Amino acid sequence: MQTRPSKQTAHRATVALVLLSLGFVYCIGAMVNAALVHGEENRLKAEQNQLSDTQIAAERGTIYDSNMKVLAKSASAWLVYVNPSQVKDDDQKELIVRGLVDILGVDEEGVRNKLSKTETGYQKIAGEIETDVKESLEAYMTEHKDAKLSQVIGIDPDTKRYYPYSSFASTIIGFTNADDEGVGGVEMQYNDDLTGVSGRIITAKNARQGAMGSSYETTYDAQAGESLVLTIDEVIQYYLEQSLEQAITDTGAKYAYGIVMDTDTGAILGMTSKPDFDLNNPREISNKTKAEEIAAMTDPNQRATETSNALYSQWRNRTISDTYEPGSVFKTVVVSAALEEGVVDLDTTYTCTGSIRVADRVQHCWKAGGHGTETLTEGLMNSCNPFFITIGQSMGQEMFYKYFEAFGFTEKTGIDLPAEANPVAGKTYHALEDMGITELSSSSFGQTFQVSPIQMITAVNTIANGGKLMQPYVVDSKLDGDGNVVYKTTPTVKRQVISEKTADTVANMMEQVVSIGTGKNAYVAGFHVAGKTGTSEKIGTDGAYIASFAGFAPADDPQISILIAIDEPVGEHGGGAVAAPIAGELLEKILTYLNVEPQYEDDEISNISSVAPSLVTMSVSEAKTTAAKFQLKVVGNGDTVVSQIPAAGQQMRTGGVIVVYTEENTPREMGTVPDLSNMTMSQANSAAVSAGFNIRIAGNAHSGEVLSYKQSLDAGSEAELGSVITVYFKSNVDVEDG
Amino acid sequence: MARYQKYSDADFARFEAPASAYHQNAARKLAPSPEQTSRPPMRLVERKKKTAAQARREMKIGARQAAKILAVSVFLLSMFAVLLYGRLRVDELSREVDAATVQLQEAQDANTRLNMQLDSEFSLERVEAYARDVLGMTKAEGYQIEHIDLSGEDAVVVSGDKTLSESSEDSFVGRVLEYLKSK
Repeated sequence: MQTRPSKQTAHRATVALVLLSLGFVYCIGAMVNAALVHGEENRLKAEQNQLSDTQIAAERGTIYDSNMKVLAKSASAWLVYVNPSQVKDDDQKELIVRGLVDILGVDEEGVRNKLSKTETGYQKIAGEIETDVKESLEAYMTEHKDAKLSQVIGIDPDTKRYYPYSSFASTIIGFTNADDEGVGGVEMQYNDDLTGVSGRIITAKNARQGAMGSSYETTYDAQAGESLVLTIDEVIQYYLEQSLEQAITDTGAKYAYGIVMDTDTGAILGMTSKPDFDLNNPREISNKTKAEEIAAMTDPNQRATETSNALYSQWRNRTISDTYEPGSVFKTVVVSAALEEGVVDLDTTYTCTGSIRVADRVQHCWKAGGHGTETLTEGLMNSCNPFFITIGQSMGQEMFYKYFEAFGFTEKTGIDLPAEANPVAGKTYHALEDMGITELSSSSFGQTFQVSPIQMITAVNTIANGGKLMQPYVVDSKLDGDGNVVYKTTPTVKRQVISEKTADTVANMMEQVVSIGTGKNAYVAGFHVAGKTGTSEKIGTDGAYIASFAGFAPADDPQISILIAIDEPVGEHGGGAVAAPIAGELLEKILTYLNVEPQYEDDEISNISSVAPSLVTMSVSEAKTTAAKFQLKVVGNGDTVVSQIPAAGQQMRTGGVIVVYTEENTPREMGTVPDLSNMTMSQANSAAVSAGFNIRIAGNAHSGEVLSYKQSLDAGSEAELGSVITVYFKSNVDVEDG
Repeated sequence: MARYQKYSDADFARFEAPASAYHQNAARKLAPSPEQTSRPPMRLVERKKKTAAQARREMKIGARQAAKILAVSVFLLSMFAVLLYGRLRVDELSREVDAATVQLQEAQDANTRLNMQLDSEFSLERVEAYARDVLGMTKAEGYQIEHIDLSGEDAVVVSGDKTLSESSEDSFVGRVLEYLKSK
């Protein structure tokens, strides 16, 4: 028999049910809130409590030159910090200061300042510490275990970027900051590729926040960054840097910059901007004089500003970030355009009287009396301004602007380096609509507008490359962690600016400029060099000039294009006198390095004159007969020649000195090297022979009026008699340009 | 004793259903009382006596059974021990691998550092300065370079007075002999 629950029981049951329902709804709501509304946040909190996440830094990619020489490489290092809030007493503080200063070599005052910030828990002392130094510090901490230094001094993993060649190619490579991010150069441009992907070690933690062992650990390996293979050739870059450093010393110039480009591809083989900086200490001012000046400043604000300016100045890659008036080098572009459009031909002549009227002004030629009647080639060889003003006016604004644009002067070249100067119409160059006859005339000989050195060499390279404008680049390929090529740069032809025929014609004209024109100091015997000199006054700085030379070689089959600019030389400032000899020396070295065989003309062979005959094993009398056209000096009492200097086959001039030794172990005959500067070739030869030496002629040796300006062995130094001294000659006649 | 006394004093009868109530229950009246239910008489089966052979056989079976259980137990224990040992070895090896990885990384870092130092010592600038200033060397000049003509076909030059017999070289047997010699 069933009985109904009493009213009271039913009431109690209802209340209980309602309470249970409310509780259930609350629980569901809380679950929804925790799982959906704040799900992500709670998940992270849970992970933080349950998991330990350690980041594994990805190794930054390596940078190689085109011969796979390492230019930049990273390795693990250590970072040392202090926790000032844990410093117990002065004795402990003193021990810490002593240890850090002595072992890490850091500034004592800086360490004391950091330790005095007792409200903080982390003060970085030094990064990029190598393992041996870190171990010394750990040994010091163990030695003073009682002082509990480990509670204050901490060591964290860090990475260090090594640049083995210090300042070598510094403006191209760039450097990294404390966060291992690229600052400048390819380090910055390719930062994402070089950085790679960081790895992680995720470990489960127990209730005491301790690690739970390797079975609860998941490791995601770091993915090393890609390595870069540059187009830069270590040897060419070295020659370029060496030449420009020497140029700054010789000319007293403020800056010197240069670019060497592969003609066919647009790849940059060498690029530098001097003075530069040490990549291992990029924040140290490389200019000692400037650094001393700044150190002497008493105003801290001024010191900070000047330091900052000096650093940015030395980090600046002037070959791509600076602009300058190209001067007469630009005439190669004008003559190319005019020939291409048929405005002029090789038979066109012009009579230069020394000036030309343009609107209401008279424009003067750099040669006061004028050049007289000259052909187009002679006009370029003489760098005649009125001739080129006339050509420009004949072309007209639209045609001029069309080629100005086609040669790439109105746009960035697109080189894969940061901070390329951006051409701005109306500011860096004349826009078509603003170009009057005056602007057209001045632009025709390379004045009143500015281009960057990389734009200029790209344009000149177009002439060398059969009229094809190439996009310059510095990264040849990217490699993955195993060294596999993952990307290869394909040379980009931007456009065909002029025909191959016109390009060949202009190349021949430019070869004449170097053979007998203003560029004759860039002449290299055996190699056909084509080029054009330029001299431009710096805007805003009175009496300051930029002397430049742009060209390519060999002229009949161009392999490399080159641009040399000497910024603010002291004294001589013409491109033909200052920049051309540097370009000539450099081209000789580079072409020899590239195994380009010299092909001597008849007049060049006469300068090479003779080679030393082989006299070793001959009797003294035989040697005298064989070396009849030389001065033979016999050392020793033997009958047979056992050694000789110069060695057999070495170039020397007829009448030179050959020293032969007839006994083994005879002390070498030494002499003092004479000063051969500022002499003609025959004077230098006589002076050298009188002192018991020989000369080898280098540089401009085919012009009659040349004088020596440099010698391979220092005057006054001791050298073995019979040695060959390389003497460099240049001309100071008819090398001026507009 | 008092405790027993206490229990013995307890009136457990109070927890039993009163006999009268049991008899008054209507349901009980319908069902036969427990006393009324007749149970089948229990049959006493006399156990057969085992023979000695049977006993031995059973003992043998028992022993075999015990041995089996023991073997399985030992096997399971061994497996457990092996697993435990394996686990320990894995842990130990993991630690060794970790330590070796760290050592490798340190060695690689040291290698990088030393290579960089070596490279910096052998920069073109330093090599040239050393060659020029210390060793008194000069750069190689054109006359020191001997060009070799490689435009022709590859040729084999036999040293000394050895000669190649044309017939033996060309004949099948000669070629076979040459082949065997080369093996």
